[in-house]
Amino acid sequence: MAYKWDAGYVENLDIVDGRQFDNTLNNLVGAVNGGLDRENLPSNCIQPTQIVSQNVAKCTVDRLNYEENTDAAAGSSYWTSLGFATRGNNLCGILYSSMQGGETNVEAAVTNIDCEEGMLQITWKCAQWINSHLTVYNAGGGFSSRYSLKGVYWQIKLDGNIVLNSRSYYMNWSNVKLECAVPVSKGNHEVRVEFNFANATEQDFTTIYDNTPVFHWWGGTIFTTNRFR
Amino acid sequence: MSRATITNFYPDNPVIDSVELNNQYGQVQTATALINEQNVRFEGVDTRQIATNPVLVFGKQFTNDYKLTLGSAPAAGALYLAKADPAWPYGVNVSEIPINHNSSGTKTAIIGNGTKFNMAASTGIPILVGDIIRIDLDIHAWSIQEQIAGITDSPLGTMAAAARAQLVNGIGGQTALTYGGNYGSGMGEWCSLIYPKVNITNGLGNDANYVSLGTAFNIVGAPEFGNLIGESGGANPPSDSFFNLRDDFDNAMVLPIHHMSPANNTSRVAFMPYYEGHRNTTYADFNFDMPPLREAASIIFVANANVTLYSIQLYYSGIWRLACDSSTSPDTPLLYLEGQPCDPTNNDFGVSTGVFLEECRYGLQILRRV
Repeated sequence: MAYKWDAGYVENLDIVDGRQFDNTLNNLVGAVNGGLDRENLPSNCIQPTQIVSQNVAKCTVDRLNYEENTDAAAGSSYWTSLGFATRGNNLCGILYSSMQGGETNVEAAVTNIDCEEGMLQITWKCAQWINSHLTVYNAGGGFSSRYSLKGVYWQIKLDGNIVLNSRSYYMNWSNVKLECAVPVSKGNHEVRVEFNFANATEQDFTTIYDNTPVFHWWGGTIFTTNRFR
Repeated sequence: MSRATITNFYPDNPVIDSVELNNQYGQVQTATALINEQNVRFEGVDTRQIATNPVLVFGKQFTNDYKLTLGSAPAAGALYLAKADPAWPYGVNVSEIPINHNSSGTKTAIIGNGTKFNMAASTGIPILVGDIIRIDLDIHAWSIQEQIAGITDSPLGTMAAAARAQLVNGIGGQTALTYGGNYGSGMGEWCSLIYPKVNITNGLGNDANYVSLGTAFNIVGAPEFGNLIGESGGANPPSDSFFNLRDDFDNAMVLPIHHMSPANNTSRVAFMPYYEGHRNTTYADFNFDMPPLREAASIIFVANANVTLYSIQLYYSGIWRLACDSSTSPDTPLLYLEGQPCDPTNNDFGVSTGVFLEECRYGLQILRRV
């Protein structure tokens, strides 16, 4: 607890002893010179502009896009470049073969952040596309005969531990917006974002495994806020 | 410097006058008037000493407040057209429309209505380099537009069931005119884009002053969707109208339209709009009873310019389509603004449905010193 100065009163015509005066003033100066604390300072006395940068919280913003391999669908009558003759619908994205058939998680993004002890709020957002119609089974023509609903879910891991599981997304276009807050110790921590696409079916392996994009994401942002204890 | 430096009188114990004494008091006065980290004990401050929102410079939510009562249908002003719609009234050089229907569902350009709001009266908010800006937007998509007059825009239109089924088929793509093979435009590669634009000029709310986030805050590579105007029909989209999805896509929200699975017989197609706010009896023998869709996204970035942010407005940018440039290695995923309706009879293989939007809102947070 900081020193609280009690005012002394000097009567008229008193002779004040130097040591007595020094003691009183030194106590005050001792408090002023680095001894003030919560007992002296009123509520809300520290305004935002008086706070040194990154002394209350620290944020990182990491904006990124999918940088790994993407492939076009291998349909012979798709247009294959910008110079196509008739407007078509060629797709481009991640093949099953590029994500182990959906058997494992695939890393989307990873970032490291130096934390102070406190809370770490992690936000991940991106846009995604799922080839949810997958009518390509009917490669022989005529009516499409098979339909396979696909989905994807996301995970956020902190130092390898799952701290967030998303729901499964089934719409062909959607925005992923995930947020969680976890306690962290002082030091460097790794935030990892992964997705897990629906497992390839037996039919998938025989027909689309290595020739049809089934998923893609882009516009990812990892936003972390470390709020200090 | 905020330390008080005093000179003790002991042990000299001199006879002093007011100057020496006042010097001592003056030191204390100076120090206590400039209290800083040299005066406060290590870890001597609690959160209660810190003013509310020490790092949050601004935080507020805005909404057009258009909320339909149960059983009612959206007003015409809540409809946002696709550029490929023959009714597109904005000209070939315009590709985006401000989301500006107010709480009554009427389009208006008056600031304070629709999604066009001044952030802090008309004085704006000074943004500094390094500020973190977070915009959370969410859209209540009520329904997709139904039959467009004059064309068989919807695959559920007047087209024969077999032809509709062929349209769904994702293999092929362009010569569905004869419906004779594995052709069709497929479904599911289209979406709408919704994104904010900002006014850093003044608080008057003139639509011409709203610019993209990338332009306003100097974000290198950020998309300028409004500049990618595509083609209004018939022709192929020009090469400069493609947006490379490997570029910075972080400033937009995608909104799905509909979903279509293969048709397995001649009388039914498995078409499903993702949102259909009322019981839809327009599509021939199909009654869709889908609920409206609330879609949300966050846009988070670091400002790289000192500007004054006056106002934000959301924009709807038609229907965009997934595409690919396979002349590159690896193949490059692209988006382009769809410019054709779905009318295979006339060799058009796009989609031009508009969407009805209900409540559209966004929140703005500005963080500093983080």
